[in-house]
Amino acid sequence: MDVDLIFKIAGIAIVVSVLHSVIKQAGKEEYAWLITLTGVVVVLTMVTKLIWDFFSTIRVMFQLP
Amino acid sequence: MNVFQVAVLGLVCSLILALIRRERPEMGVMLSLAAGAFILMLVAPRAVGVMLVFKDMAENAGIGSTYLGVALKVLGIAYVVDFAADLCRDAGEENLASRVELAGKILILVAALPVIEGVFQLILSLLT
Repeated sequence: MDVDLIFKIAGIAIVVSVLHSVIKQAGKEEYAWLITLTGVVVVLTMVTKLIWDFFSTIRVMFQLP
Repeated sequence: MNVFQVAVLGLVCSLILALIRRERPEMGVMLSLAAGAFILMLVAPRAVGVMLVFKDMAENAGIGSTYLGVALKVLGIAYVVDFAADLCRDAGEENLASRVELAGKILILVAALPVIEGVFQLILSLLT
């Protein structure tokens, strides 16, 4: 668990955003959509682990079942 | 964890979000989710210590651990539901946020049922 993860997500988001606009300008609409989807999936896998850790922490803290 | 680190992390994430949200709203939601979870996880180890102190205090005062357990559980449910509902609202899903909050209220009611029952029994025993 470190702060790098957040900046990694931010970096991926910016890169995907730039790629999306470049490819859209080039007229390849379907590829642009595909890149956005890939970026979302990659970030989602990273975020899922963080959320799982976070909820585990909360569960221990408040003794939730 | 220093308070300034938390504050700076929040500010930096807000700046990045202001940049991202316009272009890629879905990435903005995920970044704010990650940042929110991360900031709370920074302070969570300290809060666990506070919970232990509360438990010691309740034990010394002779309060049953079931009541403190219920109170902690309700607090936890409220916390998680608030977190999720705020994120839904951020993503523009006002409707979903309301449902999450309603589900949280029902869960809190279920968790608090033993206490309500105890109060009811006490009233009954006083009346009869």
